[in-house]
Amino acid sequence: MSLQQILVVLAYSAKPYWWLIALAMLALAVAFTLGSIRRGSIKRPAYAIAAAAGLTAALIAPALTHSSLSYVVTPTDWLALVGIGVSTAFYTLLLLWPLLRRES
Amino acid sequence: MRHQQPDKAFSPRRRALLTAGAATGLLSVVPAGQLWAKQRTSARILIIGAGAAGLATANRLQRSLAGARITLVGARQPHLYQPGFTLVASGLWDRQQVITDTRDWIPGGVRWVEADAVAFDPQARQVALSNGASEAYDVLIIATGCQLNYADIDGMTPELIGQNGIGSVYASPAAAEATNNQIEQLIARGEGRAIFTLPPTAIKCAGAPLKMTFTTLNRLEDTGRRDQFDVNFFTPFSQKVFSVPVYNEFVLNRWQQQGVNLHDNCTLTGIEPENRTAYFSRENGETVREDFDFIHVVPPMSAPDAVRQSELAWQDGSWAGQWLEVDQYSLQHRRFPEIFGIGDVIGTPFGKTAASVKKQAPVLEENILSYLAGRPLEARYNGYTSCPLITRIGQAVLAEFGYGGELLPSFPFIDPTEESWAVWVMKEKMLQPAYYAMLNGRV
Repeated sequence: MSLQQILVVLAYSAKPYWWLIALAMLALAVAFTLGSIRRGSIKRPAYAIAAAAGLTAALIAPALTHSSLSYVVTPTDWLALVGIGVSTAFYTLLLLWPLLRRES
Repeated sequence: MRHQQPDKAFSPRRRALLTAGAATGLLSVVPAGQLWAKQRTSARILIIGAGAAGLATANRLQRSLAGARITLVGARQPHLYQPGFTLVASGLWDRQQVITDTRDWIPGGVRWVEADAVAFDPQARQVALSNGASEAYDVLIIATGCQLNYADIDGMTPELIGQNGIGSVYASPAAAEATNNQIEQLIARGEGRAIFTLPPTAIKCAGAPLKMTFTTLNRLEDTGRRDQFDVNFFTPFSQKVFSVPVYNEFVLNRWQQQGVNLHDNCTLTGIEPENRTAYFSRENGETVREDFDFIHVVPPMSAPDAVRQSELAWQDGSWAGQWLEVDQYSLQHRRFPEIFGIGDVIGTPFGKTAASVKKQAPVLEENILSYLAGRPLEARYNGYTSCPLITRIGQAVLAEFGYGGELLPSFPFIDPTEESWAVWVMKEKMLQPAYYAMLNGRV
């Protein structure tokens, strides 16, 4: 399968979730607006919350797809699961970053 | 006091960079053919069948040809996403998830005739339709799909699906849902005898009968009382339930572990719904009577009568009078060069899945363009067939193969013989979008 075909399929796959993606982007915009007055470094709990969110996402992802964690067996399965966890943790961190900074 | 930073977002340099990036992105995403001029023709192109193969072909030709008069013939209003039927019959999807409107997939500029073909006259280059009209053509594309011959099994009709323990995933979304209801009734009884079958003909999505067996087994195991259920698979072949040896072996081994009784050389020939009895003929002509609490009937299949009773069908060999005669590589009819075939209707060694259509459609498009331009037909279909073989609810094997049973994996990171959650996610979440992209002629 070519890169072009993979991109097309991903675009079609994302179609039902555009509203969710838009909502996630909106949440980021709100977080950055609310946190615009803060300029300090990020507070430590943000990392812990992001890690917890990533771990939770990875653990429940199989169940959300009518599957089970015990069926995650191949390297590709694990890579996909880690990808889900890392992406969720990164997004959570991005969301918390403007809100959980120390005020300057 | 803080100083305002200059607005970098709209600086001319940044804009130029973004434009160049977008153009590069577009070049990498849009097929090269779309960026070139369309091929001009005044040909009348008639596509028989408004299912997956017909729609994908119509969309592709409409995009690549200018001036062509393209007509799509097909009576069915709803478009059915057939790869989802096994998910409906396994209780995972609602039947509405597999139904869309055919009209939504027909490209602008293509005329849709809501009728079916009833007779072909290749000498006069005309097709008679069920609405009494006839259509003339310069190029004919046959994409009718296949016909489910339930009547070849004595006592069996599609109306029986959903009654007396009879299920069959193929007939329609409603039949798939009714099949799930029958499986649920079997589970609710807490015990019983389940029979799964295969017909002696080529069938579309040859993995579906196996998937139904696997998902039902999974559901029976989940009851914690698997030993109360007697699960049987009847095949007309000898130690064979799938054409590709590596997958056949995998399935047979797994079923042995799961306690499925395999019955060789048995063809379903009759059914008595009220008595919940099925009749199987054996190789030696003997008829065996089998009682069931649930039976999954897979009907014998062929090209629709209009095709198989015409001179377009194979004239000799095992597909004679059953399937459309085309060259298995070019998809062009072997005796009528202006006729092409695509999808389930064609008589080729493999190629009766939606994924096959995905590979056949660009070959057909390229060869029709060449035919219209008087060039040799160089595009070749390699028999690519794909089937995410569900081995339990939540895991699947991505079976991809072509002519000669050669494995043709699409992704280097997915082992074509390994059960995987990622493949299950592809089947459950991504196959349908990929299918719709195919209908639009985008992949």
